Amino acid sequence: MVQAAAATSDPGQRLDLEAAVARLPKGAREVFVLHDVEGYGHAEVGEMLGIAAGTSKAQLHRARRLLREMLA
Amino acid sequence: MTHNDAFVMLDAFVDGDLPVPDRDAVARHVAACRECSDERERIVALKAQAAALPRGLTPPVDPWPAIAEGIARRPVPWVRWIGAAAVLAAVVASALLFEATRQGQPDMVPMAAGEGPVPVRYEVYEARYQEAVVELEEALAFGRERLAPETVAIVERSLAIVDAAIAEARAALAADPASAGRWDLLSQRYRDKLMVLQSVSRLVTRS
Repeated sequence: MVQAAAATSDPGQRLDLEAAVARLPKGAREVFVLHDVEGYGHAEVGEMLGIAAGTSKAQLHRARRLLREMLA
Repeated sequence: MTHNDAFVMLDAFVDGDLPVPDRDAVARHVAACRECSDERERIVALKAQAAALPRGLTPPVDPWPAIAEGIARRPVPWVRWIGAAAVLAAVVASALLFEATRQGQPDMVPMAAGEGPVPVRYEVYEARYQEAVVELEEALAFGRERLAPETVAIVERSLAIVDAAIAEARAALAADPASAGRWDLLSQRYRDKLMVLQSVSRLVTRS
């Protein structure tokens, strides 16, 4: 399991995550970066990307699932 | 609430996006379900890891095709170059300040006390930055001909300063790939270059 405490200090883990994010499908990547990295809410993400907030939530779910699979 | 219902709601549950009845139902299920409990922990850990990434490191939306298209389509209101010059001056000032700071620092970044070896795969890291840099430089190529020659000269000088700093940071990291401090130094230098390129892109786009 990924340890949150180590996430901030391990460049190797950071690289792994960055590389995994880069491999995400475009829609999932955009939502993941805006929501989980940049800290925007789904309403804001939806507005920026021109998608519904529900779509943003679905893409985030997809992105996180794919990332967990890639990082496992 | 079934296991599957709860499982697909875990992201929204962790994000605090569920309405109260669903939130309470998922919480009860998670408390009783090992699989969902573990999944919740993985989501929380991933969120923490993502939140620790440098903001702006990855362009969330690839804007550069639109920038290039916009540059090719828009007329050139030359009067805006007065404002543009001010923006560019700020960029250059940052680059020069960075250069002055760099010259005042030791060539090598020492490792922090107690810092152990870390897996540094900076080739992957550099490839990602260089990909972004190439995209920006290609986008800028569309608008560069519209810049005044003296403006282009300033931009090129700024980029040369940052490129020299990148080369220096890269050499330092190559000499000690296990140093997290040198890793961060190289990371910051690439971010400097992206900042300069993005600033100039915005400048050109607004023109």
